[in-house]
Amino acid sequence: MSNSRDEFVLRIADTNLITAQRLGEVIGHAPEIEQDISLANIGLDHLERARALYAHLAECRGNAATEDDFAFSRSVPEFRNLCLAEYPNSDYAHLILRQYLLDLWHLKLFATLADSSHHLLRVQRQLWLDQSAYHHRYSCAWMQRLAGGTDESQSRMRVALAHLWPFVDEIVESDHIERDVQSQGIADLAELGSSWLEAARQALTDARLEVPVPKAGARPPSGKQGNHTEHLSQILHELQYMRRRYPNETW
Amino acid sequence: MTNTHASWPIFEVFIRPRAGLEHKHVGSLHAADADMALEHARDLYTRRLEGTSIWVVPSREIVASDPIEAGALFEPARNKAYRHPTFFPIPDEVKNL
Repeated sequence: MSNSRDEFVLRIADTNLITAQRLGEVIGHAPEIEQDISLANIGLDHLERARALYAHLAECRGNAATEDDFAFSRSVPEFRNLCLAEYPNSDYAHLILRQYLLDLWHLKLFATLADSSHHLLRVQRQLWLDQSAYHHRYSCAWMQRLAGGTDESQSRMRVALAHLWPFVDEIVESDHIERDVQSQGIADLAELGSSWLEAARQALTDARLEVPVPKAGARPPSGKQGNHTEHLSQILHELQYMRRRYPNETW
Repeated sequence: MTNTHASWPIFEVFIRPRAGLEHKHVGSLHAADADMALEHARDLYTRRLEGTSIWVVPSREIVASDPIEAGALFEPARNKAYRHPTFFPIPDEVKNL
């Protein structure tokens, strides 16, 4: 992507696509059939957002580009999703905590688009806020249930938090793309990272989960800049298999 | 992920399709409590814009008639056709009766 405006849209689209793919993986495997359908519904909302944004980017790019080119024809370093979204569904605690942190982030992010100079983002904002309000209600309720549940569910949530919390850095730290987006009136991102962090800390503390202190030194990559964990290549391998195996096939 | 809880209670779900109409029973589901039952009902039964309002009721709270008593309960209403309001013309404006 050549400019900050499209780069910002791509970040949102990629985070939603990868989140959808992770949720899609548990279809048929959720603890109860009711959750199976709930998680599939939530995944479809994320997929719908990604498609709308890819279609928009394809139109901007021209040259007969399509939304499929964005999903199926890019390699790992070209993706701009948050690394948090890549984290595997190690168990239900990991899935729920990852989803909770992402839902809260989406709620805060879409709220910043109120007067966006970007037409598509401004138009979609209310729908996406409504979707995220429900996603957040669902994942937050489960986060609280598991954190306040049995000894086993509590210990699994503590493990999940220890694994996922290091990825907050990429959410909190802003870069030149976000500063450009801010100055172009596309999104009011000045408080986004800090307000997300504060809300997440508060909710986790209220659920009696101890938020880990980040270790100095080792820092996870920033997906926003195209640096990813090894999990993304596994996701893309599965996601892009058909397109790579049978290029230009239609059905 | 494994099935670790085999005993979530069952809830009955009632959906109101539009304002002005009554809630109708649409099915049942499993949930740990009433809040979760509402969320599951939303996810299972309103995916295609079926509803504007949801009720969930724990199935165990429903008092049901005994099929064995069906004769005593319902047979006496047979052959009382005069109880049906079929002798009145229904105005065209009445949509739901």
